Amino acid sequence: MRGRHLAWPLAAALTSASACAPRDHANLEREFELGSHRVRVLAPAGWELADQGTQKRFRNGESQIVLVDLEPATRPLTDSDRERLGDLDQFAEWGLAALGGAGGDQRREVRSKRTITIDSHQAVDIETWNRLDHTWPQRLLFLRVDGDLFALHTPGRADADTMAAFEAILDSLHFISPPA
Amino acid sequence: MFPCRLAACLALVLLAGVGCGQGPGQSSVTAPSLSPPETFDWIGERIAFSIPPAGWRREGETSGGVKGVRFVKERSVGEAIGLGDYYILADRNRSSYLEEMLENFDTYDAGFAWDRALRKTYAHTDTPFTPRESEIAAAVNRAVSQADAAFRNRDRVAAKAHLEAALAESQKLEFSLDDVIERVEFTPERQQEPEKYRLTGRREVVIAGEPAVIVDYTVTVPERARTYVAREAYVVHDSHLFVCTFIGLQETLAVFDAMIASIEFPE
Repeated sequence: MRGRHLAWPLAAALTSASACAPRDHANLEREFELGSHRVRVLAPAGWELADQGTQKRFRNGESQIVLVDLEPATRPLTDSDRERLGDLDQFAEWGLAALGGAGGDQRREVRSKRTITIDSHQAVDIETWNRLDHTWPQRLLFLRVDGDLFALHTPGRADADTMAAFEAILDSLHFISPPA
Repeated sequence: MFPCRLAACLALVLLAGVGCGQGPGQSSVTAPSLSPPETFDWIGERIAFSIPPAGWRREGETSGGVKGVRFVKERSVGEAIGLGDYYILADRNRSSYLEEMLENFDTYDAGFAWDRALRKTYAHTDTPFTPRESEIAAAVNRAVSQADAAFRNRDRVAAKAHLEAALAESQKLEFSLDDVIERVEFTPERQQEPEKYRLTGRREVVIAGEPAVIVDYTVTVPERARTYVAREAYVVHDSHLFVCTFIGLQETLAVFDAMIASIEFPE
C-alpha cells in the first residue's frame, strides 16, 4: 500500500497534467454542503459530480465514487452509538456494515486497512475484495469530522482509473467547519 | 510467506522427493515461475499459495462442496486449476457460531435473535465422518438444548454455562486426512460417465508439512477429440480439507505442481 506522501505527488501530477489539457479535461474545484460542513474538492478530469443531497456522486462512465454523510443513511444514532463510533476502528466496522462492505457480507473480506490523515482529520482507509477469488476490489474511507460521519467509497468495482480518481479526491478534500 | 524464488525451489524439492519411482503421471521437474503468493480464507482457515502467471483468469468456486478459487487458462482448451476448502467438512464444527453467541450473549433478549443464533449452533448428525464426531455432535446438541431451556426459563447464567459447555465439546472435534479422504477422493465410478475417466496413479505425499494424497487420471472429451490430464491433491490442515484440482494438458501440469509446492498454512 502506498504511503500518503506518494499520493500527494500523484494528485499534483494529475492536476498539473490536466492544467495543460483542454478545459473540459481539467480538474474542477467543487464546493457543496455535506452534513454541517462545507466541502471543497477537486473533481478529477472526466468525472462529473452529481449532488444528491446527503451524498455526492462522482461519475465517469460506469465508474462511481460516492462521498456520503452516513448519519442520515442509517438509523438515528443514540448517544451510546456516538460514543462507540468515536473509536475509529469501531466506526470503520460499523461503516462497512452500513455500506454493505466486508463487515456484514461474508462474500467480501478486508484486503488492507490503514489509518491516515485527511485534511487534518483521522480516517480509516480500507480495501476490500471478493473473499473467494480476490477479484472485484473496492475502496472505502471512513472519516469523522467534528462529529459528522462521512464515507468516501466506490460502490462498484474499483479499477485502476477509479483508484486513481479516488486518490485524487482524497487528497483534495477540505472540510470547512460551520461558524461557531 | 516465501518469496517466489524460494517457492520455486520448494516446488523442485517436492517434485524430486515424490517423483522417485512414483510411476506415471509425474510432470516435468522444470518449475514454471508463478505470481506472488496470496493468502485466502474461505471458511475460517488461512491458506497461502503462489498464483498462476499472467494469462490465467480467476473465478470464485462454490461447487462440489468446495469454496475456493478457480484459475482458467485463457486462450487455451479448457484448462483449469482449482483450490478450495471443503465446506461440507468445515461446517461440521459449530465452534465459531458458539463463540459468536457467547460474545453477543449480553445482547440477547426475548426476541428472535437468540433463536436465530442458536439454530446455527446445532451440530450436524447426518452422515458423520467418524464415530467420534457422532459422540461430540450429540454432546454439543444436548448442551445447546439445555442452554435454550435455561434461557427460556430466564436463567441466563445457566444458559451461558451450557453454551460454554457446548463450545468445549465442539472444540474437541478434529479430523485427519484418513477420516475424510474416502468421501472426496476421485474415482471414475463416482462420475456421471465413468467410461470417460481412467485412473493413472495415486500416491501419498506431504504438502506444507501435512500428509496428503495425490490422484492422477485422464479424461476423454469426445467433443474436443483429445484426452485431458487431471490431477487432484487432498490435504487436511486444522480439520479443514483443502482440495486442489487440475485439468488440462500435460505441459501445463507443472504450473499446478508448483502451486501445490508453494502452499503454506499461515498462523
